[in-house]
Amino acid sequence: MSQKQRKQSSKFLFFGAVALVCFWSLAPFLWQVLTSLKSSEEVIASPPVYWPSRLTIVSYFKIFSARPFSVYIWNSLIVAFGTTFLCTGVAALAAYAFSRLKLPGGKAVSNAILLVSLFPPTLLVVALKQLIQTAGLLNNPLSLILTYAALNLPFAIWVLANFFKQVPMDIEEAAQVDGLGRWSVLWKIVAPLSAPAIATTAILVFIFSWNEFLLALTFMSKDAARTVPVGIAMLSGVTIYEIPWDQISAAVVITTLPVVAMVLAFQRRIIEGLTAGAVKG
Amino acid sequence: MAHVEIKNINKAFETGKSILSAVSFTINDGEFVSLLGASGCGKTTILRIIAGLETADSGSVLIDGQDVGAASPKDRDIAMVFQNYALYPHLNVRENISMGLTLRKIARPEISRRVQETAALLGIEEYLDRRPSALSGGQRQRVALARALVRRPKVFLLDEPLSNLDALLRDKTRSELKLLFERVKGTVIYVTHDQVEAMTMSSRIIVLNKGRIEQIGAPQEIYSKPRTAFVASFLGTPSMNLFDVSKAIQCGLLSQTAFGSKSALMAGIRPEEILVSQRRQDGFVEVEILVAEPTGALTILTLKTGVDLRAVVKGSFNNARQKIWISLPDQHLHFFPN
Amino acid sequence: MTARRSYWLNWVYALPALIMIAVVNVVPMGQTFWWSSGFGRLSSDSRLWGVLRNTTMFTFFAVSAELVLGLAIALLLAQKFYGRGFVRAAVLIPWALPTAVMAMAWRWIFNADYGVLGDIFYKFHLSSSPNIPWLASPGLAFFSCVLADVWKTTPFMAILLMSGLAAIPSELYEAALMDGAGTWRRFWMITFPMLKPTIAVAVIFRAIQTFGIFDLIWVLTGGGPGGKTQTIALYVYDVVFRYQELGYGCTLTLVMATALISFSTIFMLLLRPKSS
Repeated sequence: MSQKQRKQSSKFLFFGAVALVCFWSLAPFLWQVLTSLKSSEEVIASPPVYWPSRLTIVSYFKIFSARPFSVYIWNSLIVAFGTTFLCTGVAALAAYAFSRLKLPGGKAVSNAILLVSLFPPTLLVVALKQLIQTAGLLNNPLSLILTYAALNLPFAIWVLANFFKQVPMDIEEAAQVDGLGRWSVLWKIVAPLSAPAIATTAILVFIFSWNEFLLALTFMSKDAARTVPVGIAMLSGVTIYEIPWDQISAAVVITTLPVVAMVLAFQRRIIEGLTAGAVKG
Repeated sequence: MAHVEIKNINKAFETGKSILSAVSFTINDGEFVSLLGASGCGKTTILRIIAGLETADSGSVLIDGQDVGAASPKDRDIAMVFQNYALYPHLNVRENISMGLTLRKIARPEISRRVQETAALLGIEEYLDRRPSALSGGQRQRVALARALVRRPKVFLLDEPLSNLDALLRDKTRSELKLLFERVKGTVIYVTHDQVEAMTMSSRIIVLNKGRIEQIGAPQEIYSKPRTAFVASFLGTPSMNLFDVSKAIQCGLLSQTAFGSKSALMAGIRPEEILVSQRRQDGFVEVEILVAEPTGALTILTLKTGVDLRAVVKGSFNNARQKIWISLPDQHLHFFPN
Repeated sequence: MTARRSYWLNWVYALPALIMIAVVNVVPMGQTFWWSSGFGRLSSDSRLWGVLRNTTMFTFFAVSAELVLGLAIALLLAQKFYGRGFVRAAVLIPWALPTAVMAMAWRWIFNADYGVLGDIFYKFHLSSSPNIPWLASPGLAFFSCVLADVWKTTPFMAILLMSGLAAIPSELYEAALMDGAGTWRRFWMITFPMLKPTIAVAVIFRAIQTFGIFDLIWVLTGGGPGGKTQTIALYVYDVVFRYQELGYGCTLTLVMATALISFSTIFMLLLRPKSS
């Protein structure tokens, strides 16, 4: 083989591998999209119909008319947006303290927070359920907002604190000389300069809250209080053997589409945030 | 040791912006040649093309008369010292130095003999079992050198090896490096932006500007006979005074009769070549001193004339009247196309 | 004195966050200790040992597969090529989608009657029948769950490793090139040793999360068939919310926490950099 041929064949191999990776990542999602566009007869055809003979969006109508799907979406939106605002705001305050202010014992506390954040929510769910029950917050979206925000705080504080540290101290000092107090320095100088980091944090917290399942399942027992993931997992037919796959696929696509759009739009941000959050170990 | 020939190398960014244009030069066996220029002038790119880490768009690289354009870096028999040393952080000094030999399947006893010998040459025997992270900047730099020396390659490529050392260590290492490569009789291509390094160490200097060669020559030749205004201003501190001949005639620094024919050119004179007098003298022009900057051994005077002019005088300079008389000797004037 | 007092006042900014973290993380931990009871039952709980074995095996298989696949993807995406941004986004998508929702999607793919995976196996002559009981057969269900989990979590691993790769100075590769190292050699000489700390962090992080896995398996198999895919988190959920045994559930939670802590400590000790 000549050098040119070898180069070409290795290029071919490379793009083959890239294509394979894309297929592996997207196939389960795309299969749901295809399923959701099939008629209900074709959905339960055996062998499976790979390309629908007729595209239909009937499943999408069904999911809204036959199920309280719009209620689930509404609940999820309240929880996700509520969490994002609460968590980002509280985290920004704390991150400012940890990164810019003199805190006696600050190092020890921030290490403790990171350690706490390592443990999966599975360890907390039992006691948290009791706590929420005692507080009378079962089936109240506030229960999820508060817990999700708290669970994401360590990560959010970490990312924001690291970013705040990069804002040059002299800008802040100049603002102080100009007569701004600590509070205004944070909201008028540091926060706007850190807008990219705040956006990154918000995106990641939003995705977490939109996706969370275990706590949503335990805190929200009433059907009308459920969020989308729990709602979909609980979708079933009259009997356990009649799972409405056509409706489920439509619901899956509706739920995942905003996330897919977010990933496509904010790919770089998300990767930065995940990386920043992970090097804490 | 070897002879390196660069023939008409061109390279451009993907955007079309040129990095190197028509670069050609020859380096003889055992020569120490510096590639001198400001950052972004393409000097490191030339080095990397010789190393095989980058490819030129056109032109060829010959080592001992052989075109190595298609050869991979490892087959070119060259060694490189990187600016940041690029030591393997997880290997100790001994392993770092011997890696190139091990990968070339040289016999164990021979490797350990050569590592020992090179370490002794550089005075780093004590550190052989340490990791790079346990070494100071100067020690790391020596390890990087040892890694190149131990290979006994045809050509050594050095990419600003002194730029990460502090000033004192840099001066000391500079003379050591010179001696070292004289001793091993190496062919060395040395990239630097520091004119002092280039002047003191090399047998010849290649001055680069914006991807083009401005001048090639021995250090003294480049200093005393700069071919272009760029070379003239790049070498020497403070740098050469450059001004339009016509303006100098206007303000009386140069005479119309002698230099009228050159009035379209640019003239240059080194600050130390300007004659300075405290008293009125024949053929001298009276000028006002704007700033006098004593540097210890010398004082740099910035003068108020029709052109920007700086002169250097020995010792401290005391002149309350702020007035002196100067003269620009003909034999020290350089002329460049404007 | 006044200066020091004002430093203490700075804690006010961190207070809301600290209270929230304390209430949601620390208080439940304390309560779990307080409520736990029935330690004597642990040794005779035959279900527990099966569950712990499932969880450990699941963690081992899933994280190993993730690491290998994630490393391959990271190496692939570390190259510069046209359309890399899109490919990165595509790779990220499984991580970003809701686990429980995508578990439903996988249940559909794994469906024994209408599922597409069985049909593909049949068409490629890997199976004599298109109706493969991916989730109903005791032997297959475990690996089906591992497959779905690997699909879901590999992106995270790949991204961590990608950032580790980006931190390796390119000069090192060039130096190795000059030393005469080939592609394979460069991987073992530079990439792998330089990436080791990142790999350690990523593996510990992923292993802790995988050990607590709940949603994916709850949706896919509910722990079945015959408890073959039941992990410790599912068991705790059953004990507390189905059998209403809060005390024993807390004890089991403590068992899980102990397992996690000891695993992380051992792993960290094993990977501790040798002092030179």
